[in-house]
Amino acid sequence: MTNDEPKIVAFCCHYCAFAAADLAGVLRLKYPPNVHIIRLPCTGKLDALYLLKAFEAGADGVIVAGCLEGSCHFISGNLRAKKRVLVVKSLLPRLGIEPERLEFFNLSSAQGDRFAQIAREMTERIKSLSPMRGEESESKSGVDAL
Amino acid sequence: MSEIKHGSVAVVGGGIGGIQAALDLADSGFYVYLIEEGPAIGGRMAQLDKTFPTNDCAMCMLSPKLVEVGRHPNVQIITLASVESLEGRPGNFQMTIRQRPRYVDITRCIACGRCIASCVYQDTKFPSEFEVGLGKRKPVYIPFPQAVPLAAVVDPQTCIFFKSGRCPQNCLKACERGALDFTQTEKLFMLEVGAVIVAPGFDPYDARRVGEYGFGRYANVLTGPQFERLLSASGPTSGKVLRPSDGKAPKKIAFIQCVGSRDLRHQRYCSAVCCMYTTKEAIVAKEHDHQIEPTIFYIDLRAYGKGFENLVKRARAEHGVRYIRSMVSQVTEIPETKNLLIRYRDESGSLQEEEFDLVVLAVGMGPSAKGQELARRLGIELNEHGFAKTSAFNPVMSTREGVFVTGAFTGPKDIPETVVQASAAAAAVEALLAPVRGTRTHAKDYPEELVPDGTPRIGVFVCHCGSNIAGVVDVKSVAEYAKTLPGVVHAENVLYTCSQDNLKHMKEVIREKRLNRVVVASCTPRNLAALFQDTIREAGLNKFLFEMVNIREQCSWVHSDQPEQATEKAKRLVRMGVAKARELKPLSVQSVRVSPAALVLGGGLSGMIAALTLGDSGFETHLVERSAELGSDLESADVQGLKAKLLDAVRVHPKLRVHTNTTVREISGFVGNFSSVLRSPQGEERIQHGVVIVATEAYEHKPSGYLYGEDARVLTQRALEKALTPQASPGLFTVPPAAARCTVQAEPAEDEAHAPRAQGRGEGQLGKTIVMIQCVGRTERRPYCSRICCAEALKNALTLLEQDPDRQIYVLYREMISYGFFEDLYRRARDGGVVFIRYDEQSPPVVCKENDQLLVTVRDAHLRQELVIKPDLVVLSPGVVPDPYNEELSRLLKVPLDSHGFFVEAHIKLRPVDFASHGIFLCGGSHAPGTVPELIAKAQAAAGRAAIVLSRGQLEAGGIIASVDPEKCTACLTCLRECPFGAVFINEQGLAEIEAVKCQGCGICAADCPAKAIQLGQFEDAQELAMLEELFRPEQVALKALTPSPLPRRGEGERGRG
Ligand code: FES
Repeated sequence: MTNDEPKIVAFCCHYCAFAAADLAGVLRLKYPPNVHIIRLPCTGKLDALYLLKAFEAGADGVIVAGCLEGSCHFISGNLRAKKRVLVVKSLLPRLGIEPERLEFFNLSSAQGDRFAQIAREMTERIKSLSPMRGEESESKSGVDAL
Repeated sequence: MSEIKHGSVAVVGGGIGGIQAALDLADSGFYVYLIEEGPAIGGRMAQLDKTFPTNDCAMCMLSPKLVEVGRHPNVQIITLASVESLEGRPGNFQMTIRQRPRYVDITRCIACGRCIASCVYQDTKFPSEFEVGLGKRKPVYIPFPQAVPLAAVVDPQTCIFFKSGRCPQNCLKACERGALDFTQTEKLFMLEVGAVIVAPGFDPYDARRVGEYGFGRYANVLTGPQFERLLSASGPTSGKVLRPSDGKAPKKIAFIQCVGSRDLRHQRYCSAVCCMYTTKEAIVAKEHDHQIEPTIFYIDLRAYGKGFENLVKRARAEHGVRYIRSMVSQVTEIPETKNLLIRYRDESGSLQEEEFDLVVLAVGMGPSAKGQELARRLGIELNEHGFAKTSAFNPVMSTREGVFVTGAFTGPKDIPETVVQASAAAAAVEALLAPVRGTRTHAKDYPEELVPDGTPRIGVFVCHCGSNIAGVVDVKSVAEYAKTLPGVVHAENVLYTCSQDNLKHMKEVIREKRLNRVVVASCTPRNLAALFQDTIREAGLNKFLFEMVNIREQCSWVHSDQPEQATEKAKRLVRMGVAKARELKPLSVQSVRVSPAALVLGGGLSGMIAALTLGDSGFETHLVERSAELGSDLESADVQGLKAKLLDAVRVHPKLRVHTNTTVREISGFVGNFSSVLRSPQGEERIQHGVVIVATEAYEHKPSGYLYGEDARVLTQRALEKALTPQASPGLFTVPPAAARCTVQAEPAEDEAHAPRAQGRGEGQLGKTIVMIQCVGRTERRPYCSRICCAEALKNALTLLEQDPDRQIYVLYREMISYGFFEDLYRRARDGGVVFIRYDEQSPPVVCKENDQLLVTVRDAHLRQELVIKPDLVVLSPGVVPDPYNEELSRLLKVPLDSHGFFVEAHIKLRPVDFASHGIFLCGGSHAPGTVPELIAKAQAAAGRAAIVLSRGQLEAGGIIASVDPEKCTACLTCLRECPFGAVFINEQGLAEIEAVKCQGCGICAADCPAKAIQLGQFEDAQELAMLEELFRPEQVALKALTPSPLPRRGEGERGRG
């Protein structure tokens, strides 16, 4: 990864957000290559631990993207995920991580452009924050302390 | 009847209705030819942005269905095809098909778009059918991004080669797959099928014909379907609402209702969906752009379906949508601004003019021109409106035996009703072809699975996808890199991983190199993962030992401007995929035997129909009714003939067991294997069954106030109906003679009279002046529209007039819900002199008595005046309420009820007769109020869906499901609470356990489990975390220095599931 680009992981649910990311490709939209998608069956599968682990492992930003509200293919998965994201967001400052580095989005599978936009915006947002590197060891112990 | 020979079915029309029917049939043992006129299936639903009333994304719902039907081993999709003729008899038809050339070999095309890019037409030039003329396409095009089949098509009408013969044919050269083929010609061929389902859909009414609104002349006048494309994120404006004239964002948008509908000059009937689709469009437009001020001009606001009223309320209150009750007389364009001036009469009657930036015409649903032609070729009759003629008592049966009709071809209807009818038609076919079920379908044989020895031996296949990936990503270096990753014993580049020759090659490599994990780095797993999984299964691997890495849609296509970065990213993605592959475990799929019997709860109309349909399909069915009698909900005169037939059919059916005076005491188990205890005065009985259908009905509410119960001259519509003689019925539910067959057993229903003259009230005693009051007691507590009352009132009013034309009838209403063809009744009533007075929700009419004279006071919302009527009779429409028994059923079955006591289906659009819990289905008025034909269709549909489970004999359970580690479980019950499907139970050890058959694999429980005792197969924590770690591993760390792979883990390979 180039050094100046923030590293971002996007947890996407199979049915909507992942499909939206595919559509972004079909429409040949552009977004920075530092955004990497991990596919989940549903954001309901997103363990809060993954979010912390992502930061521990070196993520500069984390995107969680599920279906629109009311459209989760497993009824309530995206609502659960949203809650977990909010909880982790509230914990992040204690680890010295800005909560803005983590965000939850609702997407429909037709929103290819929205996916690309989110990827761009998160990259910009994180660039505007002061870099996180160099404190890796600290943040690690921080996570373990939780 | 001739012999039933072919276990195959032709479904004509590839819209949502056709797709649903095809899937239902293919899943229950029939081979399906899905015949589509156009180059791709998907129909009108594919063009929608959102769907009412939940505003769910249409494509999100449809796309998985498209993929499913596209990959189904027992469905053959035939595009660009039309039916020439149909010979033969039910069970043994010969259908001749004409297929136009596509000029593209779909087995070679990979939808990369190079042919399109290279076309001599530099610009997209021709109006795109999919974008309803708003977008443009080239002569060679892909119908839409999610199209199935996903392949290009050449349109000979616009292609230069066909027009002039002089074209460099760049496309031919550009195609790396040699998929283009200009030598293709039209084909004629014959299909042998046992039955036909016809689902050609509708045509939106041509707005040009409504000249006063200027569509086609004024740039900023659009139709509803066009506006839908503007709203769509993948539409011509990428979801931005922009004016066609100048590309500016409009502020004031006017929506005009009933364009071409409810109009004697155009279509007489109501198109049934426009009020709601406009409300949805207004809300979505507002959500896209807050500046927008939507105004809806309407005549009657028909929000009559489940959840519709709520959407309208939200539109008004939360989104500030302005509703104006007025018929717009004219739209004119202001030449300078291209704004539009709308002239209308407001409610007080004064003429108004208002300027708008954009006008959207809510065009109605017209009969499909292609459908009409098709009807001629199939030899089926149309009704007076040009839609397929059906029997009211079998709403999916055409006038030709063995040919069934469904969806908007039978009349205007929305998506759920279309899906219901599709399932109903499939059920009817199943009953007809039951003897030949399974004779044309094939199941694939796979070799026995190798037991992996634990150490990962991973093969990585990196796809070029022609130049789609290789043109951006240095795929060679990605494959080289893959070779260096731990666990990888083979990595290679492939030109097209999905090609037949490579699939063969892949199997050979798996055997030769003894691979036990496969990673494919190519396109999205959403389309092809199933294909590769199938391939490795053919090579003897468990299909879950597969991981797919998306380096096309999510890499080369989005980073084509940064090839180096894209290559680096592809490497990281492959590294992640390999890391996950190292951790993959084989998952087992188990077969569970299905008890081939059904339990139907509720012995009303719906229960009887559902039970008979299942019985006719050959399944033993228990029909359970709490009261002493079946069919007690069938009260009105015009269904007495039907009732008698049904009772007879149920009584003699060899597969049916009727349990009256019976309740369910206990029900346990899961799909395929339920066990229930039935309690009756005779004692208790335990039965085993594979499915449950909840078929309880809704009943007329008992009104309070309005002197009801105090004065005998105040009665309800149902009571009036009983008092009216049946001969005079205006034919609301009349039956076209020969076609009326509910089941194989039931004889054609002639409309004979069985109705008693209720209450001994003869027609003479009903009086001269009659007031009907609609929406009685429809208040906060019962805010929903009961859907059927207006039509009932109209029907009764017409009967009263037929008996005595001198009668004066007043109908006091809030909105006249005469949707669809009921509009004819409304018109006839108005023409017959019935006076319609609209009142506001806030000021309902008052009934009182003065010296024994009934007085009805109503404030006319239109005239804004108080009127007093002195009737001889007052008839109330109190609406319907669901069966109170539902609460108990809801508890027993653990299925949800809404706040009004109606059952909640799994998905309002696509699974309207399923509960979210597998194996439990619903129909009847307790799901939602409906007319007799609507209830019949729903009951047939529920039976059809249930038959899919029963017809299988075996169900597969397992695969990607969650399982609990009993060592770690602390029985905190979190999973039990959070599982949306009720799949978790507490076992004998007092620990959580997951019912494999019920688990849908969402992983909510796994993520929520505080003890981390639950893992979801294929998405285990170790697998996900391995990906995360690899993603962020600094590049400089020498890979060889990595710790050896953690596999094998405990009892790898033997780990049973479920
Ligand atoms: S399936 Fe998309 S969030 Fe649940």
